[in-house]
Amino acid sequence: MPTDNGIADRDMQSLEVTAQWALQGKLPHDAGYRLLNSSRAMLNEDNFSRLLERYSLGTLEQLPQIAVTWIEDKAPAHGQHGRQRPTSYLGVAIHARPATSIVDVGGRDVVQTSFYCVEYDLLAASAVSYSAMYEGFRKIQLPTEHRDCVKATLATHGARTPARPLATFVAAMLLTDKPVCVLGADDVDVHERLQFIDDVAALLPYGMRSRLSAATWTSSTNRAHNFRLFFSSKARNSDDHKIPWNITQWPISTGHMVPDRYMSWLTSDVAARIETLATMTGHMGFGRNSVIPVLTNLGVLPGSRQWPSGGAAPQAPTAPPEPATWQADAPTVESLLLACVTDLKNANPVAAARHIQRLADYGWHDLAPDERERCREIVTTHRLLRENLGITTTARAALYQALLRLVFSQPIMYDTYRSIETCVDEDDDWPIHAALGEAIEAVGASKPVRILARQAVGADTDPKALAEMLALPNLLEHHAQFILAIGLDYLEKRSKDFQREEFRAAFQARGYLADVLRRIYLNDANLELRALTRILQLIYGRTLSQAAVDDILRYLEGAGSEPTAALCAATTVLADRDVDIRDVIRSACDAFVKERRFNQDDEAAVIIRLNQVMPRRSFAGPTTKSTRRLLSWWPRNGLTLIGFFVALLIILVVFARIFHR
Amino acid sequence: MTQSIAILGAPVSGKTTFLAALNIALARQNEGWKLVGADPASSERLVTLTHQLTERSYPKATSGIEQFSWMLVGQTMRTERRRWFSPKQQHMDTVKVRLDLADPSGEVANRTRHALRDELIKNLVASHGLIFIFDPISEFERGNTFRYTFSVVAEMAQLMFETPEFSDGYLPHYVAVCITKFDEIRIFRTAEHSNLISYDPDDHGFPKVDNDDAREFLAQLCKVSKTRNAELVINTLEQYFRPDRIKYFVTSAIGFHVDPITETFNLSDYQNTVRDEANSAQGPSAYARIRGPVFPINVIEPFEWVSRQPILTAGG
Repeated sequence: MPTDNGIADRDMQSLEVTAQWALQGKLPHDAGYRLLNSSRAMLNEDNFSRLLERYSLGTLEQLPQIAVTWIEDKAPAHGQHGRQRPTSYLGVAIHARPATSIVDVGGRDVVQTSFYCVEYDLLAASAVSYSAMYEGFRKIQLPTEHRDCVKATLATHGARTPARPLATFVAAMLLTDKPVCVLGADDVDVHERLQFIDDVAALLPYGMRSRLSAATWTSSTNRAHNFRLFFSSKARNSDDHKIPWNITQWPISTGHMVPDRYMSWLTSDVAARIETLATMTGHMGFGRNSVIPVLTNLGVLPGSRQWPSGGAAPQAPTAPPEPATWQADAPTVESLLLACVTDLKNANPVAAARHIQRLADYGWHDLAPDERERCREIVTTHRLLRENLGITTTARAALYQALLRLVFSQPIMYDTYRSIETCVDEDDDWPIHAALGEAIEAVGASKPVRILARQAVGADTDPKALAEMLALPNLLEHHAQFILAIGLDYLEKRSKDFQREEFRAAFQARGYLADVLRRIYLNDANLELRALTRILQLIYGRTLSQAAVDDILRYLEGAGSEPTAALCAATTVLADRDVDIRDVIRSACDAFVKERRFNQDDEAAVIIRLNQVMPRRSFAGPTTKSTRRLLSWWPRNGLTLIGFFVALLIILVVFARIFHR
Repeated sequence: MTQSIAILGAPVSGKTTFLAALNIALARQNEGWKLVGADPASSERLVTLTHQLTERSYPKATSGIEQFSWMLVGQTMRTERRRWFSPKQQHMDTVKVRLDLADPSGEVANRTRHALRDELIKNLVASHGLIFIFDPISEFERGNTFRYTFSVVAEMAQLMFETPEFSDGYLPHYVAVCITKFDEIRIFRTAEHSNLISYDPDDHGFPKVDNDDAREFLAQLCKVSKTRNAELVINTLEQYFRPDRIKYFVTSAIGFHVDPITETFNLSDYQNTVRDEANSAQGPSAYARIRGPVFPINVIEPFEWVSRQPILTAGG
């Protein structure tokens, strides 16, 4: 006989438990949902209200629906040895229509939620499943006239071997500590969905149920829920793993190393694994710190407790899964691609959209390198990234994104972007069309790629970012020219948002981009000079003062780098009339001599002669700078000053005469 | 352009029905404006709500907070003169207004439901405009609007107290106060007795209360509140929000019943909601359903008004 403190008799087939409960709904005169009644035991009304709120499924169109939850009562309870510890519970919430139809004061149907919870330790000892809890509680008619705990008999038969390989996959995905949303199961019976949740839970250590919350359905616009595993008709956001119910191609990779290893471990002997996992009843969460030690103990991971870094999954230590049974009628990505090609050739947008959708479902997993190579060949040969495909804009965007995810690595870095351009069109590959640019941005790309793809500069571009992008060693000339032109336009427009010092630090650190510009404008010295002029103007203003010229020369001397002829020319052109530019000219001569590549003796002879005629000077320090500035100011403005004083004198004389009269 | 709009109202005030009617109102208006879901989940919500209303059933009571984004897409005519001496030229511009909507269940504002309430307040504070649903019937029968409004608005003010947006002592939001259920007999008669009714010159000849008279109409309705607290609702709103940023609308999500033969409004038979008797263990109750086609009244206007308001900055 069960007792009030939850201790129960147990036999091989069933377990009698005492459950705490709560009933939420509305009476005919009620406007809003409220707690209609609840048991009076360890958990109080406030606990239940918060629980039911925390695990709200949103507005439900189909009933019944079931949520499974965990609860930890932080109020200390005394353990076996008098030690204080929190009490854990597993709960099941059944959302259904009331036994007799009720409509609220607004004339709307009412959904009633019956919530039951039982101490975790009791359930864990018999490895009770969620389905067993649901079956045991669903026939109970919760009382409104008293608040005693209810008793129920729960089946304790062991977990079954999952019917769908998807359960293994989802169990592995849960180890990434991100919520998993199962899509496309709208027509699947609620009991089957609950059984699936049970199958997934059985493929994890039982102790994880102490932190697992799952639902057979949530409204897709109920975006703030806390379920870790849930079914929905549409994805609520981009952060969840979105798993289609009808995956037919097995085995597949999760794209994560640890989950992949765990999946291999599970599938090597599912029945034995389930038995082992059912005995692991110690409380554990889904975070890395909980998962790694457990997987290490299970032999899934080697002895190290470090979370292995990402990358493709290595060979699993145990036997591989059996593709023969799992791959029954699964179309491969390759075959889907070819089907798309046929649809496009036959101008059949409906069939194409269907195949594209299936391709998109594959978009989150990695292809084997050889398969990826074959797929890339199909994409290139049939120009699947071209602009005009004869399908709807939405389908085209979905196709581009699926292809980018499947065939190219992410995020899309510059080298990958170059291969995408080649795939679009080998001859006329620049610029790529806008729709593909949007898709590249959507799947994630590095900053220069985003600029090239969208042909626009993002708001996160600052002088430093532009200089760093242009200094990329493998940047093609036309790409660099484009980034430079669009980047300088942008910075010139926003020049007031940045300090001059920011421009100076960014461009000076890269030698004013002089070498980059020489490389990308090898055949057009005018453009090189114009670009350098714009850069210097961003740093120093419209014209260069003596201080600016000295700054350029001091930097070049300090960095030990040789100025290019274009840098000298730009400095000379921009320098104020009174600025001493002899050193610039001297540097330009040096640069010219070096750029002409005379033989060493001739070059040395010219340099020696130059040193005799125009000896290098060391640059003035800060103390003489102000004097120099004053001296340079006088010839320009002295005449104006004298004029001003003369005018002032005349006015004073005139006034003096007036007052004298 | 993105406008974050939250909808606020006591339980059973018809918040979800009001949102559901928006798409139908745009379709009835037939001026090229349409609603598009900004993501698959929002799209699904749009379809479900529209479908329910056209099937003549009210949307299910919201549970928790439903959050979705709809794009209001349409074209507007822009007149431009390139030089002072050249003739004016007209251009069609496509306008997209993103409505980030939060539709909470009424009881979320209840003090005991902390987590969702926090989410609700967060949504309200972050929004640009509020659609405040005032249901006179609910107020007449239960008198809970003031309690609901005050608790929410006071918490918003407390959250924004230290922010620059609150520097002038007012919350910065634009508030469209929608006095709903104009199609209900008691509401319509109150408007009639107050001589505030005029009739649309369109095919159906629907009655309406001019927006300029809406505040006065609300004041009339507040006099018959169950708790006599309804007039405090107006005062509260005008104390917490700048009065020049509040506009009143008399609305009906489902509109009046149209005579199927004459296809016009019939003063002797206009109620579009019918109640079917239902009996349950807890006592008799009435299941509400929509009687005929839905002709939303003044549903687009509050959204249009809020959307047209400039995005506010600190102290703006």
